Amino acid sequence: MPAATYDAVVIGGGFFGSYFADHLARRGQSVLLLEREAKLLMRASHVNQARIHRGYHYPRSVLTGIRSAANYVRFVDDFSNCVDASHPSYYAIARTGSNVTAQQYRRFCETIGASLRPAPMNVRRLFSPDAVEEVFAADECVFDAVKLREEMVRRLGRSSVTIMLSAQAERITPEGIVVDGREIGGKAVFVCCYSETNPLLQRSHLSPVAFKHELVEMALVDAPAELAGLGVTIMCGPFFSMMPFPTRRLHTLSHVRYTPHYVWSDAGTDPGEVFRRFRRTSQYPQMVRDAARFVPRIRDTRYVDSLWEVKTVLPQSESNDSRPILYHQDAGNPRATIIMGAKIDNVYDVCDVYDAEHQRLAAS
Amino acid sequence: MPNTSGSPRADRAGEVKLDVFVSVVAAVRNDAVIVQDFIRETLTVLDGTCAYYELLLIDDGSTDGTVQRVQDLLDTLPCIRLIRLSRHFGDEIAVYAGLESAIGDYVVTLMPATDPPSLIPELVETVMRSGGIVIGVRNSARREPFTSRLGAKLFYAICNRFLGLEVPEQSTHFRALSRRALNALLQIKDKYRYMKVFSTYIGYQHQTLAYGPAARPGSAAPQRGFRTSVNLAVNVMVANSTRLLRLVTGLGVVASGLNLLYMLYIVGIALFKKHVAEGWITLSAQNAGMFFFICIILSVLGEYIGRILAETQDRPLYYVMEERSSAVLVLEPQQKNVVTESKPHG
Repeated sequence: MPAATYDAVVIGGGFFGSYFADHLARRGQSVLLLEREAKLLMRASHVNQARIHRGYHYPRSVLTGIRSAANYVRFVDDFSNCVDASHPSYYAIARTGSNVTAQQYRRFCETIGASLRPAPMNVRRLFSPDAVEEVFAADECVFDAVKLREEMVRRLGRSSVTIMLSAQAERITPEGIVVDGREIGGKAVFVCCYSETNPLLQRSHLSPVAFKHELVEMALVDAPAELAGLGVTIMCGPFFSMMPFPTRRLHTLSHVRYTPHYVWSDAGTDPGEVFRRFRRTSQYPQMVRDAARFVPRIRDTRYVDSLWEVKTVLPQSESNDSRPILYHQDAGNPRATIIMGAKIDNVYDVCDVYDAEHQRLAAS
Repeated sequence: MPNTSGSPRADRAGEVKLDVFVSVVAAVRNDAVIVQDFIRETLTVLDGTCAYYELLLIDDGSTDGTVQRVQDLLDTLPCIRLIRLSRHFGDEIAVYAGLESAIGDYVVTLMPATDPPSLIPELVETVMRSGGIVIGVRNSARREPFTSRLGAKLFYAICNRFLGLEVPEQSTHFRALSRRALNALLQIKDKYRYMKVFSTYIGYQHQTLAYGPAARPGSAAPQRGFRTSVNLAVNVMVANSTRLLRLVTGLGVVASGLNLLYMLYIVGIALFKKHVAEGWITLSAQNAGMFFFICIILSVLGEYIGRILAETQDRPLYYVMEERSSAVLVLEPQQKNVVTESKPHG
């Protein structure tokens, strides 16, 4: 007999899991939220660029751009107290190796309704004219990961979600789940634990989902005065991005070529094991040298630390900018649903899909 | 940037390595037989000498499986990047594509088929001292047909004496550049590219390093046909100097002066001579002379107009088809392989 039974069990207390748990609880369900770490939102929700995507990033997919723009407005409105809008954000188009030209990019942003202006002269001067075709000023915010955690804890408390921290789900059963040897009943189980999804499914004797994992590094740097507080992104190819990281009053430096240290598909490798044992040799020396070709002053950044994480993506988002979210009903256990998002602001799509599903079930 | 001081740094094993980032740029084309050996050898040399490095391979339209050979190593060896050009563009452009993408503080370019990677440390150390550019120079003449050797001599003589270009004789693609020299070089956007000329044109301090190129076993020795060499020589001379144009301008001025004199002669004859009849010889000699000059002038003008056309078209120098990088998983050794309990199997 299970010790307790909930309407829904959400495995994984990242932003997606937490938000979804709150969403369910506000619809009157009793919800249990499980997190393996000692706090919520510790892993990928914390270790990322803290960028709230407004679509600027996806010039190869107008559809993703439009959806991002819509979700952006919703997220900024929903979490206005966690959003840091004080940092200007600039997008520059590389002269060689870019998939878009400045003209195409301007038209793309017009299409998705994201504002784009020529950058002011003092910012333009930071970029090397030989390497950069055009510099644009964009309206895009970052979120403060610590404030976001506090806000989620507040909301979960308000909606009476039961939270179990430092708790690892051993397996999913036909009745619910097993945590630390204890059976807990759940009418529905939602798996929001990214790279840990397949090990959990395997322990539950369910068939794994096709995932692609990347072992990623973001360098945390102290930027020189001219660059402090600026968000800089070079479009659209193997380039870099430097974003403010409000939580630690530093910047993150990430690079399309050097941030992923190792990429692999799921077969046979335990992502957790790779994450623990990977030799963490920072690629900051590579990142900073390449970045300095576009923004010479980046040479004067000071390396502080690196953030490491296993980033899990769907294989189909590799070849284009489609960035879909996975909402997958498990074939072997109808109670289990696997959810995986790609950007923090498309959590709304997941909730919308759930609501539609729920209404359909209620109607039938 | 933290690592540009040039002071040696001790790595884990205690060896002293140069605390700099070195990029090695190599253009490959149909080098399937030698490319893996070349990569291994280069990485071994780099690993032993510098703290940070990358090996940039530019595939210049290979059709013989070179790309697959490189791909096989991307999964096992770190710090390799492969840039595939969309078709064959030629060594000059391929090397330029690599230079544009290189991130190192010092950049070494070489041809895998002939240039020995073991000399990279010497090149890098030399360029670190001068902060400019070091150019590899063949110390043994290649075994080439007499015409080619004579042509080469003539070419270097014209370039160095007459055109005022400084082209080190027997110089090769084996070069090392400092970031400063590289940035200067990248600002030259000419469509006709000849690194031998550019390397000295940008100024800075340039030195030469004599070495004996050795064909890598299995490689087809790169031979340039006589016609290709002549084409290249004309391109280099026309693209990099206006002295030829100035020469024919002078020729034109001299010819028109002679014509003027000849006209005076005709007027004189008409005024002072009664019976003018023959004169076919002078007439045809003058005609032939003039057409000779006009043809020379037109051909040189044509060359320059061709160059102007190429420069005004403003096409990209090359197109990149794709870029790949090493993806190697280096795991720390397992801490302990001890379990606290023995569980029954199953």
